[in-house]
Amino acid sequence: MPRRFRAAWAVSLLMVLPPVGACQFESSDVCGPELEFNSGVNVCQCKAGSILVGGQCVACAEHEIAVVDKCECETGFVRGATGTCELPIVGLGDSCDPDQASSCAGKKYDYCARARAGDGYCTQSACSASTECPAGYTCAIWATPAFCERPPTGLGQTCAASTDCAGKDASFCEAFVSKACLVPNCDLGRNDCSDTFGCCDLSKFALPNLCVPIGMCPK
Amino acid sequence: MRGTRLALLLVLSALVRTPRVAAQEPVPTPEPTELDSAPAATPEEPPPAPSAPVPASSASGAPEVAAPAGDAATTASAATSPPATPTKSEPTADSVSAALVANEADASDAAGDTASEDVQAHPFEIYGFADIYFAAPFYRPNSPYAAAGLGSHTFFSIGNFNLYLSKSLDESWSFLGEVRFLYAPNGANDPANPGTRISTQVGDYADIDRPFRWGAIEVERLHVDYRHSELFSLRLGQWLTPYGIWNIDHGSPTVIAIQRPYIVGEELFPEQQTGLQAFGQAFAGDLKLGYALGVSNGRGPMDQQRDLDYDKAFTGRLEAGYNGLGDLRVGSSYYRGRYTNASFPLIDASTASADRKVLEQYYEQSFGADLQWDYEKFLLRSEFAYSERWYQGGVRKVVSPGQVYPDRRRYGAYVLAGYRTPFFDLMPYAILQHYVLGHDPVLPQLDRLRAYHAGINWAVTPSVTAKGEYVYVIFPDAASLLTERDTLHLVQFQLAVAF
Repeated sequence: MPRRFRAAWAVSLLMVLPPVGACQFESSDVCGPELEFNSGVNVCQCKAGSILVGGQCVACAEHEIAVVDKCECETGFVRGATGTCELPIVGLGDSCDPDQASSCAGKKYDYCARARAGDGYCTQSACSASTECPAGYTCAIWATPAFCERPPTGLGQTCAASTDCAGKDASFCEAFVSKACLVPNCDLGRNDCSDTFGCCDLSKFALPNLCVPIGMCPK
Repeated sequence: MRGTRLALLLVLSALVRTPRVAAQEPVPTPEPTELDSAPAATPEEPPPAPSAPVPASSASGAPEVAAPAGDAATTASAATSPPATPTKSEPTADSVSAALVANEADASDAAGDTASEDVQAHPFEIYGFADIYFAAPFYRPNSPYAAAGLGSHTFFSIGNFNLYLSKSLDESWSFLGEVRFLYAPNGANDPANPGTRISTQVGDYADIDRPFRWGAIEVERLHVDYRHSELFSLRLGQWLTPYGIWNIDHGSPTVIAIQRPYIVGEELFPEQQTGLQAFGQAFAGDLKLGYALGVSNGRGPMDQQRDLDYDKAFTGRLEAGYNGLGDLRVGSSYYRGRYTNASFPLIDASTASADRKVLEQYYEQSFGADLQWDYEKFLLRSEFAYSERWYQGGVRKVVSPGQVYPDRRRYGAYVLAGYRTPFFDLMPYAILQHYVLGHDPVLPQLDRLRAYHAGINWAVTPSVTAKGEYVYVIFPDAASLLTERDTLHLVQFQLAVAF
């Protein structure tokens, strides 16, 4: 074989040889470290319990499951005001018999509290601060056991006489200044008023103690 | 979307966009050209002009040899040979040297101003090609093939209508532009509203607003060449990627078959790139060695105008030819680049800064090998191509919410064999293709395909080529998606003309 012929074939052989070892494709890892391959549809997706956010997999929070590209609440849970998934507020505020300890049993809010108006309602017990209570509820730490007290019914309702406030937690009609129903007979020592209210001594006006907005109590 | 892509794969992008390649066989031409006798041509080969020799391709994608009279098959493999006599369809640099010499000689004898002589010596040329297509697909009416817009009916179609604009600026500098006229986007699937066809129908302001449909123009390539020597030329602009056979030779009149092979049509290498390319070739008797090296923007959503990352793509090709046993050429090509798609940067007035969001970014590399062999009336063409892309921490393209593209590896090959008979210049040919799609999320059920073609190529005249072909495509791993009735049978015809 002529020399130049051999050289040509050598060059040709070199040309057609693929760049062995230069391959970057890894058939066993086509999705990178965070994602996993779904061979059924030839896509990369996050592992169970996480979702793709900006190219990164982010784990879903407690009581959440990954649904496509969103974290959804597990069955039986709902997203609360704080954005977390929690049991639905079923039973909160439901009427109950405060003399029957089990009248709220089986519900998330299984404590039957006696309202200031005398009726009963289902709520949460064993709180230590209002932040542990449903929105609008106040942790009645003055009670034993402490429980989440509902917002006083009738509070702020316009009135002309106490009959207008009858049957409400805010059963006293302050008809002189605010002309609104307020919660009467609070305890100055325990300050057993809802959040943002304080117990005010109005005895010099011949009125009972009243829960009034903080800062509104006459000196 | 899946359906559309499916059909595109299945059938044949060329049904909507007929093959733009020539690769195979130049049209027989009346003027034989002595191989290896002329200086190298620098420009890409255009389709053959009606009475001009047809160039074949070099490592750079530049046209080379003109076809011997009456047998284009021989010409096609002459890529290993030095460039040939200039032709009307190759107006640049040395490819037109003979014409230039003649023109210049005439010009030197003539009185006249310099401008006139220049026009004579370096004329501005317009030429091109077109093809008309007819297909008879055979599959059930609601087959996914129909999603390619083929329907299940027989149909006529205008395929390519391409014009070349070229000028040899002097003995070293030349220019070549190619544009394609399209009916698209009229009738295409609207990506913003899948399932709805785009309509370009508007009122004709020149005809009391009677309706007409406007179309589009695609710039196929546009580059300026500088030829320093046979061993070294430069090309700046948008050029066809110098790889394989089919992507370089260009134009339906010179293509043996009707459609591009899958490995070419699916662009395992980018079809075009915008950047700078160096190329050349050297000869030693019957042997030729050619090369091409390119740096470009690489692949991207708007790579003709912008590169959306700092990485420049690299392209390389080596080619060897031997004329001792017919015409034999082997070549190999390599491409590596980074694809980046990013949002348009918006200015935040509060910070006086512009920010953009990267939407997809991956690296890719491709390797290809090709073989051409012409022996008397017999010809053989074969290409292998391999392509892989990997994201390597880059942003993966979203397939659907929560799902993104995997790294992919695609590869395939085809073999084409033909024989030019003495009977009316008829050439029966056959093609076998195999293509592995590799983790395609758009077509997850289709991992690979095989296609079988049998056809006849008839060089009616030097500028008119008629083709008829039967195609059979199967998807070995797609039993869950396609039934036996979905196996594609297609009968198709094409009439291609160079002008």
